[in-house]
Amino acid sequence: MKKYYRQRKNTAKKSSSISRKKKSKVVKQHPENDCSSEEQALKIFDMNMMYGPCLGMPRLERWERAQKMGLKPPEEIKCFLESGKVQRECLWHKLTPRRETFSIRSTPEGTSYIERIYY
Amino acid sequence: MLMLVLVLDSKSFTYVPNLFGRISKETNRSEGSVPAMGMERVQCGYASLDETFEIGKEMYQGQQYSQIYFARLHLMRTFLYSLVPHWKPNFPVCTVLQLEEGKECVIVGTLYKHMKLKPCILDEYSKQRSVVPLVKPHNFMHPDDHLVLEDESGRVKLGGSIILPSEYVTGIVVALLGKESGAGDFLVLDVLDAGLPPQIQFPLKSRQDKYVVLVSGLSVGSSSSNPLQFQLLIDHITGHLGDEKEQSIASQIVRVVFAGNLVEIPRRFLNGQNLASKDLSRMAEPVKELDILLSQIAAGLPLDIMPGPSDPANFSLPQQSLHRCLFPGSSAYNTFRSCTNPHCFELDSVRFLGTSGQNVDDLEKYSEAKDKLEFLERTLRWRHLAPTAPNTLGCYPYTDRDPFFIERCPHVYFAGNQDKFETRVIKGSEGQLVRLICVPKFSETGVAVMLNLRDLECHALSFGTQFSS
Repeated sequence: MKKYYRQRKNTAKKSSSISRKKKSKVVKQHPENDCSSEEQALKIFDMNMMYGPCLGMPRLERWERAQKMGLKPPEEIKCFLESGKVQRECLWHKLTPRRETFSIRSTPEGTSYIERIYY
Repeated sequence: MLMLVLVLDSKSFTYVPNLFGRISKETNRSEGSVPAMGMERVQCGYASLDETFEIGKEMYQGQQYSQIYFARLHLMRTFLYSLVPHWKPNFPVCTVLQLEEGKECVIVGTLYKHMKLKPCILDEYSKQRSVVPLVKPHNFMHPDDHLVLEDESGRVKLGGSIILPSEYVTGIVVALLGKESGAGDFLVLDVLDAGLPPQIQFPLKSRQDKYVVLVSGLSVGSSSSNPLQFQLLIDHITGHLGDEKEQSIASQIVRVVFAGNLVEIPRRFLNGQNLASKDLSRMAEPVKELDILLSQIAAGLPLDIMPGPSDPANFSLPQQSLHRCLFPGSSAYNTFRSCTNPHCFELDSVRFLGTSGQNVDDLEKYSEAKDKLEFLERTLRWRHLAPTAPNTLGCYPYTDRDPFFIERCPHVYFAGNQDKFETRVIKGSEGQLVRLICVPKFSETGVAVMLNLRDLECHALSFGTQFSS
């Protein structure tokens, strides 16, 4: 139950800056063991300023833009993105609220609550 | 008695005043001077280059303006890096974060101008209002403004007297030679702009006179516009006015371009309140009136219309073309063409580029120059139509390109809705020649601009209506 309320501070780099924003949201957490090597490589790709800002663009599109500009982004990033094993959107994607909807979820204890979902 | 007066700039034409009012359209010739055969209008090849300004394929995914700044920086920096070895061959190029104190080097980045008086949304929340005046000035400059150069790695404040904040605005990409001072500023020793883009040579072989008429600021529907003046313009262009000599000049007009602010919808309809049905039909009247007037022109020769700040188009640049359903009468003609703002086209290989004036007006608010033509010249030398977009000028958040980058130098560069008619020819370092034109507001001045495609000579067409008792 704790999982669905205030986000626990964890050691992953991103959470300290986003925990304030996530106070009222319920977002699936990123447990540490989910960071596969592919996801790690993609996080590095997101953070690399040479390819421009990552917010607001799907990763594949950002890769293609970098390709078009002649920046020679690593080919393997594209392979990971096309294989579907990694997230389509950038690291910070869930921080930019776009469309939102509500759904009613029930907890294991039998109570129910409203969850806000963002696309 | 109503006397209609048509005045042309005395440089090239003589004029015979016609005291008998407008010529009726049925006869199509002035009384008493019927030429032996009818006159044919001159033809001209036209190609529209507005594709870069159309937003049909773009999709908004929640991106911010950082994307367009990145695209702009990358585009212009790649180009500036190719120029730097010729400009300063003995100095290294580095990024902002790689600057070392005392070492002279070249840095390339986007300029940001920090302006004290620039309206900021946060001022509304500040407790003290002592510094910021509540009344908005027309020009936000202040002696304390300073420039900052920014690239992906960082930003640095610029110092020195070579680069004057009053001449620059946010959003320009430049190369600077200088060194970091002890205080952390970058002392600028020299500045490199991109310079005029390459130009396809102006077709020089002697050809016949062909004229293009540029008009802007018709403001149909506003209290300041005089419908008689516009009707005079239409009659002159379509050859319904004047004697044979004048009509032969009018027959050499190949195109009319309306550079924005075609209508002005009365303010009382636009304050967000629900309108009664009577008001709704009244609100549409200016556009209907414009359609009737434009169809008279479309029946005679090709015309282009561009949206402006007061037209029913989107607010941010590039403004999309006004929809053809607004002009049911005019759009029936294939000579009628609704275009984007900015508008780029070619007539007989003469390249035109122009806006409805928003880019120049915004530059005037945030920098200073001796006249409006100098703002136009600066945008060409910076190779960017609207450098203040998206900072202070509304702009679409592009992700992978910047459509305002000027790749090819136009032969004619104009800005509409200006206060007065001004024109000048500027020269580039590689022999480029550009005719700069400020097209005045027709509703206030009664002046349209006539440009000769043969030699790019430009003069004013002035219409007045005087009442004498």
